Amino acid sequence: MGQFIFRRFFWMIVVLFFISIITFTLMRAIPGGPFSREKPLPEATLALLNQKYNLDAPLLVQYGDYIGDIVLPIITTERIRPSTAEDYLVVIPLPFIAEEAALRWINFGPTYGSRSRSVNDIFRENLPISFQLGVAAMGIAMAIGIPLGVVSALNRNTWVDYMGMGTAIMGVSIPVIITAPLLQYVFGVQLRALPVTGWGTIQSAILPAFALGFVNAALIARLTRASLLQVLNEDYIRTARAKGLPERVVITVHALKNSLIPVITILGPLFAALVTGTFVVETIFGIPGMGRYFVTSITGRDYPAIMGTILLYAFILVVMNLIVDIAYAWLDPRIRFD
Amino acid sequence: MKTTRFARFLSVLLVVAVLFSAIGAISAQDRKVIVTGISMVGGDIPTIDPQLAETSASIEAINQMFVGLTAQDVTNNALAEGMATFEVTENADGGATYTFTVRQDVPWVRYNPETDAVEQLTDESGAVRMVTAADFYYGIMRGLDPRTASPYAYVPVGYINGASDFNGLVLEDGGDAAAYEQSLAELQAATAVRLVDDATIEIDAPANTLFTAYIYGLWVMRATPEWVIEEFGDLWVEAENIATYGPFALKEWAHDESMTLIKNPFWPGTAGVPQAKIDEVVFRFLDPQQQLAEYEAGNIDAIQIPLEEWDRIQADPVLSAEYVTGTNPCSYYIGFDNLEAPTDNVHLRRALSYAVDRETIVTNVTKRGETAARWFTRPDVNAAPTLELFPDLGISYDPTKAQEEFAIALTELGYSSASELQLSLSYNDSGNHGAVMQAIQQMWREVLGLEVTLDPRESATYFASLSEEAPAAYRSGWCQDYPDTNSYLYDVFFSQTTQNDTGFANEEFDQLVSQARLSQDNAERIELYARAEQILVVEEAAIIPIYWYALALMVKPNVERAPSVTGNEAYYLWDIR
Amino acid sequence: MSAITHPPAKVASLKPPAGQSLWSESWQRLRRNRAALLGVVIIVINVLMALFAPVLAPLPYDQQVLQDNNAAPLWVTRLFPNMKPKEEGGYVTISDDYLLGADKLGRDLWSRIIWGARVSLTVAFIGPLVSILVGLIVGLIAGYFGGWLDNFLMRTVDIMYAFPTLLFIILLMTFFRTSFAQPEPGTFAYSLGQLDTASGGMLFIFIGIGLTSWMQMARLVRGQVLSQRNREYIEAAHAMGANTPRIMFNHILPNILGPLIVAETLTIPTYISFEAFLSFIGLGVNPPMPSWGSMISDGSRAISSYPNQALFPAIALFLVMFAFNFLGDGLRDALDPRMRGVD
Repeated sequence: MGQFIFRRFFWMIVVLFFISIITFTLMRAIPGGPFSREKPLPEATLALLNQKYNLDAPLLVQYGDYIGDIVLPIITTERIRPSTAEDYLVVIPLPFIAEEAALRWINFGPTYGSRSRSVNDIFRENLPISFQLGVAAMGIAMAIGIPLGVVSALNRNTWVDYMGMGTAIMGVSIPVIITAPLLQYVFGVQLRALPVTGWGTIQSAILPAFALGFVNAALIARLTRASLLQVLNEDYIRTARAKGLPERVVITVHALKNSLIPVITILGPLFAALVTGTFVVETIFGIPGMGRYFVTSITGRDYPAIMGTILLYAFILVVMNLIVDIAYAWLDPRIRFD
Repeated sequence: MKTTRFARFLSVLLVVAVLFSAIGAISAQDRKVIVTGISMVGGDIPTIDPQLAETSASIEAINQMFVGLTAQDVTNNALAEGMATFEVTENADGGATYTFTVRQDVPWVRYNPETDAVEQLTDESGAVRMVTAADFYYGIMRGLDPRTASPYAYVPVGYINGASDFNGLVLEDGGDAAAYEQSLAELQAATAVRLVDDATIEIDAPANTLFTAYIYGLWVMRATPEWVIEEFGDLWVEAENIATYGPFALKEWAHDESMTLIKNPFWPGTAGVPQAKIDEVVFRFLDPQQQLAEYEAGNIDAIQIPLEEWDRIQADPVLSAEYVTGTNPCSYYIGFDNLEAPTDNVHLRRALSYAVDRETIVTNVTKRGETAARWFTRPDVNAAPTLELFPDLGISYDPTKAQEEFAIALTELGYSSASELQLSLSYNDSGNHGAVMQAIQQMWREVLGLEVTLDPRESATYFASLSEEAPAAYRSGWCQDYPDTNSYLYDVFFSQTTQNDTGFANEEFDQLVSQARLSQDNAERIELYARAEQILVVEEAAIIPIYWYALALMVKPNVERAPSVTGNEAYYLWDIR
Repeated sequence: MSAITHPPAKVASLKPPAGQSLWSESWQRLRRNRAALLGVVIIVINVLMALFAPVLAPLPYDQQVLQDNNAAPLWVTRLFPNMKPKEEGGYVTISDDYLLGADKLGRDLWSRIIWGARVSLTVAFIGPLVSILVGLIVGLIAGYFGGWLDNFLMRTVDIMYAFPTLLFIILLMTFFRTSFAQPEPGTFAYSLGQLDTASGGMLFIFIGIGLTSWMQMARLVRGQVLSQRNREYIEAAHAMGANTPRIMFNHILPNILGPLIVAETLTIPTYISFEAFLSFIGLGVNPPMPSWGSMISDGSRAISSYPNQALFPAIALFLVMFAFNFLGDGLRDALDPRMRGVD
């Protein structure tokens, strides 16, 4: 197990390294720069800005500097002047070396879109909000999806099943770009039942979490249904039934646990997708999460923000998959790590 | 996943937040608070650092907190008293020297969340730090210093002797840093801004013009607190670090969400920038549709009207009564590549311009109070020709003339029919540009029988490609930097400027705008500019003027908005009834 | 996504004839599934609509009557009570020239919905095709040859898989849209750009979707190939002197096709909503070419004034997504032999 996690961890670093190279190449190949303006800046000003943000160095050097700032920890002995270019996620004071000495690590660089913030600031302030939204949406998705799937499976081919699956298919068939403004208009503007935009209260989280969670509720419901049906057909369930165990025990103790295994496997990527898929919902409900940065960083050629967001989400995705694999093994003792 | 523990933690947080906001609501009841979204469309304010600001949202916020050497009467473009009084004298080398006497009664302030009050800042000895000429000197030099890389320094650079060499000095990659510092120091010393004493600052300008004083009041030249910037670096503009001195102080900046400004009781008020009448102004960063939704839900007091909802608002008796129109000092136009075929043909350019029905565009496509443009400069800025004075100036929709010109153009270009002419119309694919361009495409099809291809491009690529090589026909717009015709005609179309993407170069035009630039007589300037406009949009038809922008706002009936013609709101003039 | 969790089809037959009975049996099962049949009917109707758009659409999709911007027929204003006609003190221009109303440039919504079917359906059919093609080639090669090639290909898949799809597709689309905008004539980039312009901007959407969605397919194919590779019928084919590509395409492919089709049909709605999302962030098809996604995203901005502009294309999109979902579910039930015992 330990060896397995170590190996996966090593592989994760390799994956992130390749992703950083692909992203860097692609984003620098896109024409237009971070300082392309409708009112063009004079050549000299452009040169000054490029110099300030190290955009005038050869590309390979820029890449090396960027990765170096993230990966390599540095030890400073003096107080450093606050700067968006030198903002470290990890700062460990080392008072035994010098009074102001510290070990500093992980610097994702400045963001060009906001002159007083670093990419780390965006992670620190905006990511938790997207994360909360993702958790809330996931909660809604599971709270609706799993019972819906179970009820449908247990009443296979009856009207209950048809209704349940009809709802689920409806859920996956309406894109969030329709549900979000519609929910906002009906419950926020017309009924005045819930806040129109904003974040910070339970009420303000309901509409966005529901808009985001509903699609995934449908996915989970279908998967739960299919997987439970398959499990109910297995030999050991027949054996349990033949032993005369009550149906309720058969379902809850034996069938449900095993049928949730495939559901668990998609929770990881689904959760990552929830946190990344929040652009539409965050824009429409005015939530200060990370969603806006996926699009504005690319349209604004905000290079450090593009690299930062992509690497961060790749990291979340890989970690989620790892967690899922471990959970998988825990749920199903038949699975061995090779 | 530790979902349960996290959820518990989350709910505790949320309850605390609800409690706090409830407490906030109670104490805010008797205060005059305006919540606004007018200039705040499209996300966070990029910065409120006067030397780094470039977007309209940044400038609006800065105007509430930092006041320039000169100020502008926002209701009519006249020059008004800011932080200083000034006089102009002719100097030895034929230029003008501006001598500013800076007020001595304005302290630097910061909001203190513990006392919930704006407080004066003190130095090490405990004395109150007052804004002095030295702070302006620091601010001006910081803006000009190439290491600051100020995106707007290039505007004042042309109006301060010696500034251009200082601002333009770039350290070559791998260059000698020490030598660079040395030459910077020399060039800074050679820049003609002189700090005489705590109250006096002198600037040498190449010439005395009617608009130089406005430029010295621009945000890039405002006073900034050296000791704060030295200590906090880039982060000096955050609420816990910043020092300001204008009618408002920064209370809170919740990035990507909102910014709250609070009245600065220590601002003495000047003729141009009086004391604020309201206690707080809250900027909320939301997209236009969400702003309207919040406005209708009663949570925002002032917004810009989204185009898509315009019809409904106009027909609604309540909402239409809250509609306010205002000036937005920008022009919308289509530029041509004047140098390459086929748009190097003046008859083709004229035909295309005559064929655009601007009235139909402003009534049916853009809708929100824009004016069909007959020429480039909008008529309400200083020294600009007006529609009343020049009813026949410029160009307007005329299908007959369009067809005549088109016939000549086809012959001259050697085409037997319109179908042989290949032309594309480029634009940046954002906002409502697509709709306007599609309408124009159809007008050209109907009037000229010309089928142009639309070429929508992604914004950053589009803007980059404009300065490299202009497409044959392309959408563009221009917003003034200061309220004078010079900011339009000279700054954009004088043959030597960097903003001129069209390649348009006309000797008579250059001569006219240069003469008007230096003239001290506005009546004379208007005549000169009118002639220049005629060359630009009719005789040479270098561009197609489409419309002059307008602001379409909604303001709650209990809120009194000060009508601003600058394109930025002046919240220190607003009030609540 | 869900199809992965299903075990591979257990087909232990030597020759296609036996397979044929599987297919016909599946067809029987599909026919009994009314929901899936309804899905087929809706899809066929939409395909016909897309094919005959020039005939069916009452007006050209790009014809603007600017005076009729946002006009709507009377019945629409009755359907949405807040859309009060001008005559009744409201704001809606009444015009019966437009069955469902007109958009902000006075273009007929109904005609644009009909033409828009082309984009959504092309995405629905070409998206999977690209993804199957790439996935199939990679998966077959990896599964059949194994060894370092398998390792290399699967690690590549892993890396691509860790890419956040949405961010990657925005980045890719921006790259395509910008890099191929104005290249020199005669180059490959230029012809690609021309092809994209000719398709109204759809080409790059296909490439973008294809490039970000083949990984799952490759994994699935490889898994299927691995489970088939050592079966007797393959060994028999080897013994009879069949060469490698022949074995791959004539023997392995037909036997793994079922799960692939199911998986792809279930992903089709994802492709369709991808297109809608791209339109929402301004990376969709070029105007004036209509797509449901762009109509919905334009319309959603006017949802409180003119709900018809967003809702009608949304209904069209919903119906097609619904149909593909039903069909996918039906196909899975029909093609998955494991389900046979359940009935």
